[in-house]
Amino acid sequence: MLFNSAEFIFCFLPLTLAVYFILNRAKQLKAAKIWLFLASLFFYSWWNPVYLPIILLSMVFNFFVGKQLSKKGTGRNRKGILIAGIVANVLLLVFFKYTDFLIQNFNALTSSSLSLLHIVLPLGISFFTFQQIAYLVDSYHGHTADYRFLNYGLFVSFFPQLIAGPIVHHSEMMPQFYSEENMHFRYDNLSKGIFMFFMGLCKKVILADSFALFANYGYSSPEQLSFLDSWITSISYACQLYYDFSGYTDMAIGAALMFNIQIPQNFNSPYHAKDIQDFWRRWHITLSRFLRDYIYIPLGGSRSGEYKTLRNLMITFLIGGLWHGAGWTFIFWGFLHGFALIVHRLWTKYSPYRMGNFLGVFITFNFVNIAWVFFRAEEWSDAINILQAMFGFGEGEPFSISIITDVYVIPIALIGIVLLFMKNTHQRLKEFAFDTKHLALTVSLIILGLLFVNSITANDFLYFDF
Amino acid sequence: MTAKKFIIRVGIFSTLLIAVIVGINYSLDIYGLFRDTKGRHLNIYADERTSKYLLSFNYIPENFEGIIIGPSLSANLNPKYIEEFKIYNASIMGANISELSYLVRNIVENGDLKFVIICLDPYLTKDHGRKTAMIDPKEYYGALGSTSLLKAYILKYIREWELLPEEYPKEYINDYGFNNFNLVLDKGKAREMIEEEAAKGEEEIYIDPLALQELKETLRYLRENDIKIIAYFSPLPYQVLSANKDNYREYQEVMASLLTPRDILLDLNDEEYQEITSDYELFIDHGHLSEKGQVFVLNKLRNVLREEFLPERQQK
Repeated sequence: MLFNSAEFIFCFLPLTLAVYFILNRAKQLKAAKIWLFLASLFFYSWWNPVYLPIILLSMVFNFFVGKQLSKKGTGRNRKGILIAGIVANVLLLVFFKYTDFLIQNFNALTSSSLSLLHIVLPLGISFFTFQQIAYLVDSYHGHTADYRFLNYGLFVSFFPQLIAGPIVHHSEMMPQFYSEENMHFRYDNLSKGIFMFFMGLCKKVILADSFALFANYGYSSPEQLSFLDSWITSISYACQLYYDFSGYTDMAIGAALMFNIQIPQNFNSPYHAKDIQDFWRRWHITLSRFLRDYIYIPLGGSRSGEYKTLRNLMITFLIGGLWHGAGWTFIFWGFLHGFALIVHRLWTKYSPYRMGNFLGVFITFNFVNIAWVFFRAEEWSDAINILQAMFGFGEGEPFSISIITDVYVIPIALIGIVLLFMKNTHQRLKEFAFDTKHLALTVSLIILGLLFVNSITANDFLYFDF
Repeated sequence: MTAKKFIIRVGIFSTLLIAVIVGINYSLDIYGLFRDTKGRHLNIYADERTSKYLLSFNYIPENFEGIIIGPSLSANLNPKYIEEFKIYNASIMGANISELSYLVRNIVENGDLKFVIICLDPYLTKDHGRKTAMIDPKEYYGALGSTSLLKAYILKYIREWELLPEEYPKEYINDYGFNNFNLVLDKGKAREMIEEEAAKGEEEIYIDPLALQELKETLRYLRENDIKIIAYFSPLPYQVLSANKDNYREYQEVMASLLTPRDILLDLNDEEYQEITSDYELFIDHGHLSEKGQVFVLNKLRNVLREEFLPERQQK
């Protein structure tokens, strides 16, 4: 079920919320949690019920492995269980996400012709797998409490974050599911949740889907792009991706807040980043946190000398690239970011020169924008064509524009660009007050959001593919 | 303001505003979906695909006895020219048979259609499926408030007040579905374009198997509903036709094989029309008809309709 669908906004969300708090009010706390758990599973299976057993099995498996790992004093056995647990999770992910990629590479290397399996990727598998790997590692280190299955199930399946994150951590979610205070209906959280949800909805259905028109058009015929077309295409995709994913996250945060659950911030004006390290502190923050805590630091982080630090950075980002998709373009995108972080680290350490903020933001944005070309392009040749055009080696008149076929989208795109320089949704949420200004803003967001939801603009969320 | 008052006010104001927006759109009802359409004259201001699709629910079936379907080649035929019959031109620029069949089924289901005029051209069957998201059942509710509706309102006033007459002329698609796109297309280049097209020589005419199947299904559906089928091969410039003679004849044979003796087939590319179709003034480019060409086709259709339906009417 999509957050930007009428069935979610008018049926699923209000019904789930109402029954949840009615049960809580009647002191049926366990029943309320069971309801929320079942509603989350229903939300997941709306897309395809066939994949429901996968998430349930994954949940049960990891819960019991986590239980074993939290038991003290089993020594080497525990490490074996941890490795087995992680391998099982990774294999599940590899099977669904990377099988065809592996077959393709095997065929290319050995000149064989094994058929591709065309396995459909279960929604959210990359997210709930990482979430549970973190849980296993923390159980091993004794950082988890003796959780009950219902709360664990809710932690994994809680519908606002189930499909496309943020990648929540058990330590920030479990206490909230245990807290009885959170089970009381709160008008303030409902108001803030609605405000946040509709800000996210507008970002998705108005801004992201409008930028998508230009980006999709450009990426569908990259060999024909002029210089201007290629820049409009790449910047449109950069904006689309940001508004799409951050819009989804805002909706997730808003929906969770209605249930008095706080989900961590995932974006903090990433295109304001002054350097690439700053970018990764602002873009998909919960993924960066996972990569840092469960890959970079276990590899040794920055504790084992300069060379190993740089190596660890590169490995972490290659994995980050691969996590986003089964393709060499994603791996190369990860490589570019890893390389940029290495350059940044060396520059910071050895160069006496410090860039000004403006130059830093300019260079960072352009680097990120160019790297997105590999992230979005379906083929290497597409990426190369777009980059050639961006650097003035494209076909046709450099300043001709052919990708803007719908002039009505131009004002929306311009608003989207202006909004990049303004306060982000989290800053606006912090300033939220129960006053007339916010009342008018909330109502406007609701009306605008619903107007666009009722229009033929709906595209799936981009991060559903990852 | 307390949080409770805030949320109550959000609820009240949002509901009221939605009710006002829906109420206005319901009463304006520019696609004839919510009110009686008898005697109304609904023009189209934007998005031909969406608009004609929505008009096919009530307006067309309630007000017309026949329709014309086809791609752009027939979209600029003005059915008002055939005064004896109320015909709506449901052709759509760039449409294939899959898209047109959505409209046909809506119109047949909701009205009492007597005949369907089908413009046969390779464009109709060169691909299948919806080419855009503009023909979508969701648009039915979009007529109560959506961006496409907003666009239609804006363009209605731009056209009616002639704010941008070059890009958006006042006359666009009239209440009979006539798309007067000749107003915005470059004129005077027909000869050049026809000669250029003819110089390309023989080109393969691809018929998509699924599109062919859909056309067959649509024809079967019309016959089942006792609706007369009048098909015609849209006239092509003789110079272009001569260069593609063999392939085009092959195409014509495939199309003709879909029709039964009950149906009527007009070949406006027959040798007997050679003199007419050789005239560059019949076209505005290498295929679309000029006003002169439109009159030629409409006259032929009128003759067929008169022969077919007038005696029956006179008897009644």
